[in-house]
Amino acid sequence: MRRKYTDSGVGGVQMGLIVTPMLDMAFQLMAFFIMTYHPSALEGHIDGNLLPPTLIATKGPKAADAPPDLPAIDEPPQFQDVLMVIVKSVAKGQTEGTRVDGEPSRVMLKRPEAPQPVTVSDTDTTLDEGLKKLTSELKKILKEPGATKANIKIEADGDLKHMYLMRVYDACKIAGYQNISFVAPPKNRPVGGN
Amino acid sequence: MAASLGGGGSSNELDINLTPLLDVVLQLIMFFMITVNFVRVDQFDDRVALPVAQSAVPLDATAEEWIFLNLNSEGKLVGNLDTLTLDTPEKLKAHLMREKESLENVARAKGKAGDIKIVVVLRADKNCRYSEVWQVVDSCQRAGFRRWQLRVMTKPA
Repeated sequence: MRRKYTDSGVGGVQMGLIVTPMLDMAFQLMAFFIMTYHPSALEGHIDGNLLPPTLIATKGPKAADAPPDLPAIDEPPQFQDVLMVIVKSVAKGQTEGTRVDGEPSRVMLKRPEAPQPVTVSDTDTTLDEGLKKLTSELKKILKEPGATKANIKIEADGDLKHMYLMRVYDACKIAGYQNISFVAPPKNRPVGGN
Repeated sequence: MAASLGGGGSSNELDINLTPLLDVVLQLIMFFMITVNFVRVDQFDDRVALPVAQSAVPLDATAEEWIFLNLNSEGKLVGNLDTLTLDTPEKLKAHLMREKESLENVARAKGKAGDIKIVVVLRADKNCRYSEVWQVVDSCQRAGFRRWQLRVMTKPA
């Protein structure tokens, strides 16, 4: 970066390109970019739809004491008569077996035709094993003849931690179900619908 | 950046060659400029630790407008909503309705016609409760939003 123009070795004029300010500026720029760098490659998303207003408050009894803007929800047909995955959680400040507050205590599966849900896993097994069992059960159902509907509703307790809900969601997705909907937790459920 | 050794007489100049250093620095700058991802304060909040969902899909930008909601581990909305008191679903719904209207007006002012595609992006902490997540989603639904996204990590950080 330094040029020397010499004239027959006598005297000589040095025309140096001073790099220092340029380097300083480059370092400042680099510092700025390092500080504002945000590696977002690991972040993904799960897309969802919310029921349109036309499908709200069209069916279902409404309690007299229900707030006026709390409608009953009439589900679109594709979300009716589907498999239900029910996740019960350990309540706040309590423990069940090895599970603590916010962890799933029981995972149940309810077929549309069955009157009662069937327990798939509870605190006797580890959560990983329980979720694997849920996936295999769901796969079995999907392979049954006449199993045309590939929809699932997840009904989780309000105390369940969000990370466990995502794990249940993952288990359903791995089993091959495409349309997975979330149902309001029992305490938040409006009268007459989900 | 030149260091001269010896005193007087014949000057021996020791130059540090800065060219390779400058090259590397400029390359690094190029890299950061290309990969830079400027995010708004509400789009990224360090206080929110997202849960992992392997079935999540990479981010896309199909929507016209976005509303970001960051829910911390205690179930409170943080980020640019820190200053607002949105402690009840009704207040949140009212706030979201105002936001929606404002975004629609801005989009219309830009010449967009028809239905404006607004997506609510919910960044919920992995330790918050499902009831808290549901309350936010429910408020969005009541505010008239039709699409939402749940942000997760595709791999553990």
